[in-house]
Amino acid sequence: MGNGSIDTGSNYDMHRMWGDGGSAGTSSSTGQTKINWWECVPNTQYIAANIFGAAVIDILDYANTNKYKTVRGLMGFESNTNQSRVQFASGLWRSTSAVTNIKITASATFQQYSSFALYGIKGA
Amino acid sequence: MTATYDCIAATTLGSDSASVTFSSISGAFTDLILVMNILPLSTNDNLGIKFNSTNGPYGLIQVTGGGASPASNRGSNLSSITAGAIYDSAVTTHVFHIMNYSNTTTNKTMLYRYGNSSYTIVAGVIIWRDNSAITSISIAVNGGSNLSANSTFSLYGIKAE
Repeated sequence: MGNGSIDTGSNYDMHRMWGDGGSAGTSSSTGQTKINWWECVPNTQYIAANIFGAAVIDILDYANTNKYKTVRGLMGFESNTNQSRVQFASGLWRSTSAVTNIKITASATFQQYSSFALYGIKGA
Repeated sequence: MTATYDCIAATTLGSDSASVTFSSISGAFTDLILVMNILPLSTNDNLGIKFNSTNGPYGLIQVTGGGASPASNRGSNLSSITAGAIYDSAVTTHVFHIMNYSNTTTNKTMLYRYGNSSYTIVAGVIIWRDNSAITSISIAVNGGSNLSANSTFSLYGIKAE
């Protein structure tokens, strides 16, 4: 995330609860250069190419300039194999700047037909 | 400006009913949001949800928390989506986010979460391994019991512009 450009400093933190269909656990990472939300994009090394990950991420009070930005996400993929994953996570961008830029990356190229939509919701 | 959630249909059960079906769903939206508030049944069970009246194959994976350590389970090759526990003594609230439901190129993936104040909270992912556009959604109790009167079911569409 960023304001005018992407902040690549070590200003991101994450906590999560995850499950793989057998095991479940919690973990965290702090002082990261991005919000590392693991397990939300299938790896075609293990997962069929027609299995798509899904994620809904809420960025709360994104334009507020008085507080750090809190993010909530639910994501995962069901692949009909024991390589499936689900996680419920929170993230933090330790900046009081309004969010004007969002960059989404993966450790490899996003597949054709992947789709991304950004919505705004407004209190009356 | 387009409304964030456009209500496609909503129903409140006037009496105990075997199922609720949303049919002839337009492909005009990007995603669907299904919100259900289900009153207690006579027994504990799961919902059984089907798209386009098909018997799957569906798969799901979920993580649950019940006040202690989290747990996870999954199911594959299911004939209905058996996500969504419903109880004999607590109202459960369910939200399903159905992604890109009208495309005919990919299997359909959705996220869900549900919970109640007495038992558990759950978050999970579902796949319908079919490339068809979703045009109907039927909701029933997996074991065949009736859905309780005054339960509410709402289907919303959201659209990327």
